[in-house]
Amino acid sequence: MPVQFAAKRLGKELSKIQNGLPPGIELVSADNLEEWFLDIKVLDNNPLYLNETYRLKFRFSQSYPIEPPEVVFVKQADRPIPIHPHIYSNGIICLDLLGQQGWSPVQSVESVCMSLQSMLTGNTKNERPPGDEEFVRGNKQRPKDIEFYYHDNTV
Amino acid sequence: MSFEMPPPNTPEEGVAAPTPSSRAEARRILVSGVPSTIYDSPSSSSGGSRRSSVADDAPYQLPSRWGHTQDQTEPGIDYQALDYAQQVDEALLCPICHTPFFLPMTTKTCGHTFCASCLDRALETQHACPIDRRPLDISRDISQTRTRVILDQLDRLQVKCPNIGCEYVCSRELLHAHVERYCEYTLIRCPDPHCDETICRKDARPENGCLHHVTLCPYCEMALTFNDLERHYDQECTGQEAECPHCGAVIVRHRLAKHIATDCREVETHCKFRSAGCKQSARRKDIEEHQKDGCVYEAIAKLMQAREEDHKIINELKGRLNALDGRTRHLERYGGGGGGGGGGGGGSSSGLGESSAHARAAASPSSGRTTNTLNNLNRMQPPTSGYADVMEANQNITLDDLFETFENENNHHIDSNYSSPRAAAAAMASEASPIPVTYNSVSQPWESAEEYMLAQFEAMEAKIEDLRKMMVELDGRHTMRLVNDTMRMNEQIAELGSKVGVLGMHTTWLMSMQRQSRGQQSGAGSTPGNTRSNITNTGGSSGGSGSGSDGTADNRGNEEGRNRTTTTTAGGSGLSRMATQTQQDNRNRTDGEGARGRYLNTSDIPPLRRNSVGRGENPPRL
Repeated sequence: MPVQFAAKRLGKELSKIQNGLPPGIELVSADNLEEWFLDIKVLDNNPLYLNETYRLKFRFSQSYPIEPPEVVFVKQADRPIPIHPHIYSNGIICLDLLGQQGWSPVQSVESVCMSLQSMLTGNTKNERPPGDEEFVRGNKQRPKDIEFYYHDNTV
Repeated sequence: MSFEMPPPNTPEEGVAAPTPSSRAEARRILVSGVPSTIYDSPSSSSGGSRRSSVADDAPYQLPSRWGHTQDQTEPGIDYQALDYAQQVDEALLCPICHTPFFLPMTTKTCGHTFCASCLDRALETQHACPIDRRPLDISRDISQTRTRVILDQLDRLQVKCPNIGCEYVCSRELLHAHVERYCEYTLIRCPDPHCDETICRKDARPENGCLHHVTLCPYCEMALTFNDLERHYDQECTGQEAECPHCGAVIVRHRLAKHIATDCREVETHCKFRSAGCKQSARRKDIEEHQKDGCVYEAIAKLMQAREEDHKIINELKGRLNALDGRTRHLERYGGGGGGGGGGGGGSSSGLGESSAHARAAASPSSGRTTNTLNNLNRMQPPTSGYADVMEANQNITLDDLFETFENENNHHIDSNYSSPRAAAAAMASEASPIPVTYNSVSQPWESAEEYMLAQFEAMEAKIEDLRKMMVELDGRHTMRLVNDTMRMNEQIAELGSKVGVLGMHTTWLMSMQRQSRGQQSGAGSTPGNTRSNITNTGGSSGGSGSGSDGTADNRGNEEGRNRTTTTTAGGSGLSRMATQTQQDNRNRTDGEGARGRYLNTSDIPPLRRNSVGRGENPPRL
């Protein structure tokens, strides 16, 4: 049953996405109902992200949309990891929206992409989160198992 | 699917009357306060048997605390997987499952709406509204959506039947009934009581027996259940293929005949407009070309088709007309009038009054009809003295008289007409039916039933026109009478008015007389009190408003008497002026106290009677 529910919901979202997405968001691939790739761009003239495209990977559990999807940036030749005080250099995003507490089933792939877009747009700090190197080196956990501490209310 | 929902249950109520499967669930919720994850319970699905636990392929089963009945929550249809026939307004989509709401629930605190099952799932992890994260008390803050507008819109959404193979589209509220009762593709239990498999309703016929016995495909010798054979032929059977003799395509033998009949492009065939006259015949691919280029007979075929459709419509209309006609006759016979109707077209009905029968016999059909209708019309009014003469003879005419004349008229026409060959058949038909159909049972004068009805219609219209004229006439007479009556009344009122005027004059005159005499008396030094008060009373009661002021003045005292009289005379109306005139006359003609006593009786006043207008045979108008 949960499998079906997630699949149905993702099917709906996919058909909606294929009908059109907001500017700056593009579907790269959605070959199955477990892992999707999308590209996002920051649309304004923020010099940190000007002319860059970032690739997002969504992984959906069978409890989606009750549980949040796992969303990370992935690094490729022409797809860097955006620099941001809440984005680790391995692509893991510290955003309460994507945590168990901040997630709400009314969110969707599209709304997550838009939130990330606006998170990047509003950023002025050219820095990684504190302890980035250490975290990246030592982290073996999946993003959803990491206990983030959401302290910054400005993003 | 109707959304006549029971009131929302509190958890306690949920425990009070739960379904067997949800009772334990409800108790758990009560005890722990946390919704459990019943969706993850192991599946135990067995076709046909009533679901006792949630199965993988089963629709989501709601905990009973949502207040939805089991019927609604276990429809056998997964409403969230439905395919909708048209675009659904986004406002009707649940923000969680992104499908139109099913069993919608609304939060009381923030007014957001979700499907019951979606909300239940969402509240599993967070006790807050999924949209604005306001805390929600599961038992208190959520209620079923009762806004009819929303529920109606949801009910009317057009959905496709979820059964594979069924193309049916209906509004969502009817889907349940369709799937449960009518859909030919619903899987139901195999009619064989020993078989536990399910089968499409269309295949589940007792004469077929159980179709789940294993059989071998005649072509590939694969073992299958019998009801699976069709699908097997179409999709996977590879054995015993045959070559089409025309195009050489290799297909399953089972399908060859159908292939040749409809699909093979090399086989010789006729143009599809053959029935319209096209003689062309060639291989199917050429024929297709020919048809695409525009077969000259296409227009004819279209015309013929249209003609056929028209014929169908005409036949249908004819049938309906006959039925209607039968009904009309029936109503005329049995609804028109108990006693009089029995005789039929003869005109010698028993229940009629003498005079009306006489009138009908004497007059020609049309004029007789007019008389009767007029009489009938008159009967509607209560008899008044002015119209009694019109009324007197026609008390017994009833509505069926109208019909009688109607029929006479018809027979009149009919006599002079030929009898059509159809009439015989029609007569036979009318024998079969208990309702006598007059235009059929006598020789038929009309070309067709339509024409007959049209003629009836025209006759009716003429009658209505007659009636209208008579109504207008009556109305005129009525008005005249009214005017006459009113005239008389007006005259009487005028007479009364003049009498009042005369009385007023009398009073004024009397009073001025009295004052005069009083003035004389005061001049003489002695006034008898009795007499004075007497006079005052007379003046006050009979003089009315015109002399009111004088009466008051009288009560004041004797000294002013003379002055007062002068004032009245000067300021009075025409009447008082007249009175002054008479008064002066009197002064000339009468002499002192002796005459005054006599004058107290108003009716005996000589001078007034002389120019009086008060009494007499011909009262003047005011």
